[in-house]
Amino acid sequence: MDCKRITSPVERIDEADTTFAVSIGRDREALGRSIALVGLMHPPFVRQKPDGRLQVVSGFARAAICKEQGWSQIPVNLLPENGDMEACACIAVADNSGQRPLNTMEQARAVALLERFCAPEKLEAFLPLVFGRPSPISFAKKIAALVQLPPSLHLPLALGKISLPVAQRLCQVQRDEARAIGSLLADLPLSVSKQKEIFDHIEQIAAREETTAADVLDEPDFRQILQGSQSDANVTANLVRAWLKMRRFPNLEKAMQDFDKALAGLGLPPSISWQAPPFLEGTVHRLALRFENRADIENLRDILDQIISNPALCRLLDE
Amino acid sequence: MNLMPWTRKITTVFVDRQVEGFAQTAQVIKNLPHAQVEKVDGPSAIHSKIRQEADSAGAGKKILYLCANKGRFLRPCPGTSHYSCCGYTIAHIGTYCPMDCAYCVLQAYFHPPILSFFVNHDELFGQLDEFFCQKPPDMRRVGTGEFTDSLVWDSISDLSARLVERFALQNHAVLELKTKTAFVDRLLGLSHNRKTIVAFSVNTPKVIKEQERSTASLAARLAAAKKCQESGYPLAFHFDPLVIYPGCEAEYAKVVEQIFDAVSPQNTVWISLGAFRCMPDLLPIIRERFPASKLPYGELIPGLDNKMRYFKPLRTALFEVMTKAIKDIAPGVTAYFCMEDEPAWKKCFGFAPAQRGGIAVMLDAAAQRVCGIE
Repeated sequence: MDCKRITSPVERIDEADTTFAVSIGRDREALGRSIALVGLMHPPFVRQKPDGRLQVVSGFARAAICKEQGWSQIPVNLLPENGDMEACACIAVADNSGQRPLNTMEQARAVALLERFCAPEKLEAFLPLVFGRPSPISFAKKIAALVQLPPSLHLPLALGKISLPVAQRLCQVQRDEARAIGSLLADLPLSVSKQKEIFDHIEQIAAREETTAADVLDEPDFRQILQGSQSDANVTANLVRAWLKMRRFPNLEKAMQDFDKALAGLGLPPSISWQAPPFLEGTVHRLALRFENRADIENLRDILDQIISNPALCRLLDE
Repeated sequence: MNLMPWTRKITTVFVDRQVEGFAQTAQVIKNLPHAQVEKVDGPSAIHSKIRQEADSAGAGKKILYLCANKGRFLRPCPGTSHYSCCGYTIAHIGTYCPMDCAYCVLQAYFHPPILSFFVNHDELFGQLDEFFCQKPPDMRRVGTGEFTDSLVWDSISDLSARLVERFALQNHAVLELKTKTAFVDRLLGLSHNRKTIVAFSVNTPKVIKEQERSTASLAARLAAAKKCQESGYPLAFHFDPLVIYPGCEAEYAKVVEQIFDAVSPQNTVWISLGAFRCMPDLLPIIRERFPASKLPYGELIPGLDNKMRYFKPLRTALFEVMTKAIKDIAPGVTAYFCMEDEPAWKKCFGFAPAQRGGIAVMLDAAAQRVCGIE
């Protein structure tokens, strides 16, 4: 599509119109320094709206930085006023994905944009550009659904704080639920499997008690954990996981805690480790002994004799 | 013939070409006059069709596949590893079930599950003749209710009647017909010689209402049990699965009372107790197909056999209530656990199965006592 390079007053740019926005979660500092040092090398693509204002098609960050740096005029690539939306969508996606690999949220926005304005064959043709590799349309549509998530979750998703599998599950739940669970996950340093575990527990507690995820997360004990004074986010994450496990499996967790207490009562030295049956199902316990020489073994034998006569053993073995 | 409601839901009967001319095929088709009949070469096309359905487990209940059982009709129950099993023999007459229970393992056991009925009954009865002739000592209890409900087929086939009458002619083994229906009228006039046990899978009214779609109510099942008793049949009851929920203990104990208000303990061969357990793949199916079911949200942990089970102290506590209720009301009835470990037995029954020769021996003895097998 032909475009015309013009210089426009910065104020004419309608920043609030994010119809074609793809970029999110990008570090704008480097771009800001570059523009401050050498000026705007790649002017944004814009389209004139019926009210005379300019709709950004690509280059939202560039336009915003110029404004922040006090520019009164900005060079832009003006697309034809009657230019079709399909072409604009293609420019938005091509310009963004041509500069860098897109993050998950950007991919979602790009596909959603193409889905909205382009013919299916055009959408399919753009998928390798969006994802950096040929990708099936079914996968692209699943990614595009992420734009339906509450806006507060878009940035955490772009920054990888919410994993893709979990984000896709968030799309399946009510918006308020998604917001509550997503916000919690975004604030904690968690692996994908731990995010899934937390999601499962919240969802299952809510289903069991016929309440909502938001209500579960609003319980005073839980809020206290989040509002606590732990400076280490990892500590908070562990407390959150422990609390949810206790709520989800109260009897199991209590029994495990009791077992650990009884085990502590045996006073095992570091050279002996005791492994209970998983989930306390079954009857086979395991002891691991560490030794270097005969004297160590003799010492271990004495300790084992003491363990056998310790009354705490009966509790551990459920005798 | 009096048809059960499920038969009206059958839209298509697929007939495997291999069984086209079989007498049973004609009988079933005749009893489903509203259903379309299609001939197929094997199950592949049906599997593909059902797999395409959003709810394949539900879709598999609306068609019926008539085919031959190409393997052995009589086979040992697979049981489970690490837990004590009862040494049951399955008479494999068909697969899946038109009723719809949330916890039904068959939803996840077959891929996809389709309602199938084996019609090569000549082979079945041939294998039974051989079985009765050989009298294998470790095969005394035979049941048709493992991969399907025993009595759902009775409105379209005379198989149960033929089995009852065949078992009546021997003294080596008992036939157990296990059901969640109250459809027993076709059994009542038969000559059974007490070699058929009519067994009812029972649960609390709450569980039946919430988790067992299209099954008979508890009252109807107990009324049916009473009719069977009046007709001379020995009875059995299966509390499987026991579902844990607030207040379940009192409700389950009440079911025990209701059973023995309706029937005699002396005529009850056994009562089994099994807490809800399932392969992990079943849980997402329950969530999807039974969104209101709370079964997946119990305190389930992976058992030694990798099936999900209630955390042991929880199920043991319910077992204690149940074994006490049974001991109090019907002390002479043989009660047993389905797939539990030795500590659970010791805690609830006061002995381990091995001390009495194993579960199989205990149940064989019960069948001997109540049904008069050798």
